[in-house]
Amino acid sequence: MSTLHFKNLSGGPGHADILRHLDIAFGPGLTGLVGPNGAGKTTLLRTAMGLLTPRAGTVGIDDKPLADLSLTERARAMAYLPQNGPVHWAMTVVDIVRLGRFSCQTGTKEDDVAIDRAMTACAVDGFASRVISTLSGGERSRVLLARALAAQTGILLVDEPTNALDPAQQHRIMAILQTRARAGTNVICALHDLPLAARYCDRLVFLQDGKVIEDGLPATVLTAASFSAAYGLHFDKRGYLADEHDPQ
Amino acid sequence: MKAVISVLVTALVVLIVFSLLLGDVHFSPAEFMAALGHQGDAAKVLIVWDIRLPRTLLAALVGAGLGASGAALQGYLRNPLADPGIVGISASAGLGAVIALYFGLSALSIWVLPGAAMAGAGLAAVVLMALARHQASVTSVVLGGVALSSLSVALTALLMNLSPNPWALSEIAYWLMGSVADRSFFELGFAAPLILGGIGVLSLGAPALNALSLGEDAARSMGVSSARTGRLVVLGTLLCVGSGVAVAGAIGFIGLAAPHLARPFLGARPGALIVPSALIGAVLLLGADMLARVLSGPGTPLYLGVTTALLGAPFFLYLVYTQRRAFP
Repeated sequence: MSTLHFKNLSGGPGHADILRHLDIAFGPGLTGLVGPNGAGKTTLLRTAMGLLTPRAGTVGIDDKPLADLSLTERARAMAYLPQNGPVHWAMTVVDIVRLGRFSCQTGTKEDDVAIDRAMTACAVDGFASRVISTLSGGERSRVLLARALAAQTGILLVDEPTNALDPAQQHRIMAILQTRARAGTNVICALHDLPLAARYCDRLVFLQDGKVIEDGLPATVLTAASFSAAYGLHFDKRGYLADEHDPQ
Repeated sequence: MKAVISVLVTALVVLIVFSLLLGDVHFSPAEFMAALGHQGDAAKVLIVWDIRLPRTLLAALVGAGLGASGAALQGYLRNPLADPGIVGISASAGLGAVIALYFGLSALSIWVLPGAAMAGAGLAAVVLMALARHQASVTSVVLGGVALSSLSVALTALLMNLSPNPWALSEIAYWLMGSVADRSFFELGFAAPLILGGIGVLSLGAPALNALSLGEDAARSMGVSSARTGRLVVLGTLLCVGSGVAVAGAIGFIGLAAPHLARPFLGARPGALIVPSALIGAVLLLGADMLARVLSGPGTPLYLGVTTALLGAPFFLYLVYTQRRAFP
């Protein structure tokens, strides 16, 4: 099982320091990254994947610094599902999932087995030959997730996979991630939906302004205090927003 | 895939045979076979080997280079409108050749004109590769290409504007219209290794082009270097298109249309379209050259670039109309 760790990491896209002196490690299980827009969730995932170069500090997998790994070695260790990832051509489902094997193509049955497993896990095997543009939003999301799962990496980085999906599809995606995490993968998932995060994640990391403000079990992280600190929202004793009109 | 490749290869072979038979001098099958074997009438041997064969093979080769580079560029830029013209390599090669024609350098040696065209294309490729370095966005490559293309076209127009006499102007203008007429085995020998090598280089980037279909972030996370892929595509296009322009002038639409013709039969994976697009490009350009020969009147040759544009533009419009719902 792989551990992803950040040591005194600062950086972000361009010259902006979105992440600030971040010290954190991600081990096995499903970890949810939560926090307001601009907190650094996507920046953290993109930096972990090597898509952004940190200004200071290091990222590493187990005892190896990310900078010492080639693109192929990184891809064999980590898979990444970007937020709202595009598909530029009218490709079929199976062709897209097969791309997940890009870095680890063995040319043997191992590739076919990995592709089949990923498609079955995401329930997209029933429409393998359909073109992506003909699918619903939920089906499309599951196809792109299957592509990331097909790589069979020890670490899986997922950026807001439930965006713009109906509740049933959201639960379906999170259940797939939870199953994969329970099978031993280190899954790190950025989320905005806090009830969903509380329901599925083993651990939640609350980010604000590029720093970790809470880290632990969902029940300990999702508190009125952390809400107030992160989102600037205040709740009364009954759980209503403090400035909300009370109909009673 | 194999069935489509087989059909295309068969079509190309049939067209090559018809192209060798096409012309003012008629051949019986026996005469044709004899001429191919360097037997029989010396004049007919000369017509087949020194006139029709270089022209035919050159048309097929140049078309193949344009088709392959069109497919690779559309995949790399993730844009169905991309063609070798959009990155400026065609126009820069044209400018190099026009400089050789304008200053009369092309008369010094038969190597000067194609060499100058390749130099122009190479200069454009160096600029494009500099733009594709590190994690540069492909948009920067396409914008740089558009700028290079505009500059080359403007400089070509300037040279035509300053042309010292009408003869020099007409020589430049006719050359820019594109043609494979009166070409010899010299041009074929010059272009063949470059174009075939270029198709090989483009094929090396094929798997990465498939991955880039999911965007640069996803592709990079899969182990794809966008910069390396960009270098392969630019180098392959330089070899295919630069040498094509060097021996046949500017020819449009083949690079744009060939991948669109391949997609309905072979799917949309850009990497899988490179070789089939090369074959389609060969068939299209050879067919266009045969048509140009049939339609040309005595003393008024119809130029190949004119034929491809006249036929290609309406056909491409039809293609866009019928496939408009399939575009991403």
